This record gives sequence, structure tokens and C-alpha cells, in this order.
Amino acid sequence: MAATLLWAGLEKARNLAPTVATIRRFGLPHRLSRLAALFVATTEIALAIAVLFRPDAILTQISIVVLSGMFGIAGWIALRFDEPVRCNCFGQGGNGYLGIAQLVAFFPWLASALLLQFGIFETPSLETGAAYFATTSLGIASAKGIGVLKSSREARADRVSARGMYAWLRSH
Amino acid sequence: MVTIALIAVGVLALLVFVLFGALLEMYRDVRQLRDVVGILDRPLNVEVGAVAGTKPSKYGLPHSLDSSTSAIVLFLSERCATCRSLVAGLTKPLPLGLWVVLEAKDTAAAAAFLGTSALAGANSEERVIVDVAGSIAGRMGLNATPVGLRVEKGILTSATTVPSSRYLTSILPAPIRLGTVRP
Repeated sequence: MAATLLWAGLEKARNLAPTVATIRRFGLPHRLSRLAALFVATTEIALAIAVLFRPDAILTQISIVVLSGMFGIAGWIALRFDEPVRCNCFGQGGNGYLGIAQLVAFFPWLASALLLQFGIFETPSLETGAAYFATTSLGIASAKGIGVLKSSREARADRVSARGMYAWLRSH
Repeated sequence: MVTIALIAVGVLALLVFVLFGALLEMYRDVRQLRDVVGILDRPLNVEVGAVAGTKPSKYGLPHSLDSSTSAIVLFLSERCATCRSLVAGLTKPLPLGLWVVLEAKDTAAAAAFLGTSALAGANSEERVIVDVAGSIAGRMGLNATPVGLRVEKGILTSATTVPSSRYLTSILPAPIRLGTVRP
């Protein structure tokens, strides 16, 4: 849960423009859309940290339900539009659209909040929270690193291929 | 102390995550630029005319190709720079389904080319044919290299230029693997 929130929040924070564009589709002016996008990104990151350090706090659990509820409502409104609204849930580059996925995702998020409510009976120590935080951060950084490696291999193949084609063009 | 160190590790990992994200976006931009400029693989179809539908052996290619289910006959020339880069990208032994026809002005030139290439000692000599003075290509009316001719069920079907190793790899016939052995 924390990894998903961190990933989404950081990707949005790195480049706010796609999220601003998504929010603008709901009729908000640009300035307000930018503020809303910043709010969403910050909330996601803050919530991820809260899940790691204070999963037992009622505020953390309620925030999860509220945030996923907001996404669900956004998905429901987006479904009523004539044209699909790009989600940009995990930053730029995704092909998803707002709609059913956000409505459906509300239930796993709700279940997760309930799991935290009834599954955690005591506040984890700061050291435990820090260990969770480090593990989650390293996990998402590694997952992103795999994507970078794949892209770098593809870019190299393109470069070699282009060089091959130039040689071919020269010889004809 | 441990807590601070763990938090520092976490924060640094998040920073790396953000940097990786920026790098990925850059790779996407480069790919887009390459696509716009048109410097990705752009193989051209070669019109094979009357050669289509005929048996490879008719033009002096080995008879074993006539019974081949699927194969690529790659025409190379000792004088073409791309051909040299393609040969440099070949593996030992030659990939399954790949046959190489090397056009050379004489046997000495062919030997010199083969000696410096990955085709030497590839344990697949029977799939490397030396076409002295381009006699095989001449019979087919083929006057460009590198060109890949596709053989399907023992019949020559189509041909394309082969501008890169990557494209060559993509057109090679996929090997047919055995299914799971049932006891």
C-alpha cells in the first residue's frame, strides 16, 4: 500500500503537468488545478509515510478511505464524460483512463484500511517504521531501475540499428 | 542512530527513484525523436518477381534448402560495410534457419573475408555458401546486399533489405521447441 502511494505521489510530484491536465478536465481553472495536483501528490506521499510509521493511527486509516473515495468519485464523474479522461495516476507515460479502475480500487483500499484498523494493535517503534520506509523506498527504486535498464538496452539497440542503417545507406 | 541511517537510506532511495523516473522519460523522448527523424529500422521490400514460388536449388543454392520448413538466406558481399557489421553481430554457431551466401570476386577474397569474420569456424560451414562473382545472385537478378530471402516450405517467397543486426534477428525463423515430456 505504501509502495503504491509513494510511487504515485513521487511520480506526480516530479512532473505535475499531467495531473494538472487531468484535474482541468473536471472544469477547474488552471491555478486551482495546479494547487489540487500538488495537494494530491503531497497527500499520497504523506499518507505513504503515515502507513509506514503510524499504520495504527485512525487518521491514517480514515485518510486512506477518503483519498481512495475521492479517486473513486473522480472515476465515476469521468465515466459520465463523452471523452475518456487520462488518469496519469502514476505520472506521465501511462495509458490508463479514469473510470472503472478507480471505482473498483476503492474496495481493496477500504479493505486495507480495515486490515490496519483490526490487524495492528500497537504503534510500531520509530526504528521499525524507518526499516519499513527504507525497504519500501529501496523496493520501488529497484523496480524503477529495472525499467531504466530495459529502456537503456532498447536505446542501445536503436543506436546500433541506426548506425547499421547509415552504413547501409552509404553503401547504396 | 540506526533509525536515522535507515531514514537516510529511504530518502536516498526515493531520490534515486525520482532520478530514474527522469531518465526513463528521457529515453522515451529520445525514442520519439528517433521515430520522428526516421532513423529506426526501415527495411525495404525487394521485388522478387519470377523468383517467388521457385525452389532455391534452381539458382545454385544447396538442395537441403528445398526441404527446409522455414529459413532465411542472407546475401552478403565482401565489399559492403553493412554486411561486415551484420557478420560481426552473428553468433557461433549460426542461428537456426539462417543460411549465408557470400558474394566475392574470387575464392581468395572470400577466404579473406571469412577468415576475419564470425563465420569462420562457426561449425555451420554447410550453411555458408561462397558465391564467386555473384553467380547465384545473378541467376536470381539480385543486385543489392545485404538482402534476406525468405524460404517457406522449400519455396522462395519474399525478400527484404537487412539494414541491421536487430532486424536480421527479428526475421529469423523461431525455433520449434519440443513440448513437455509426459511420463
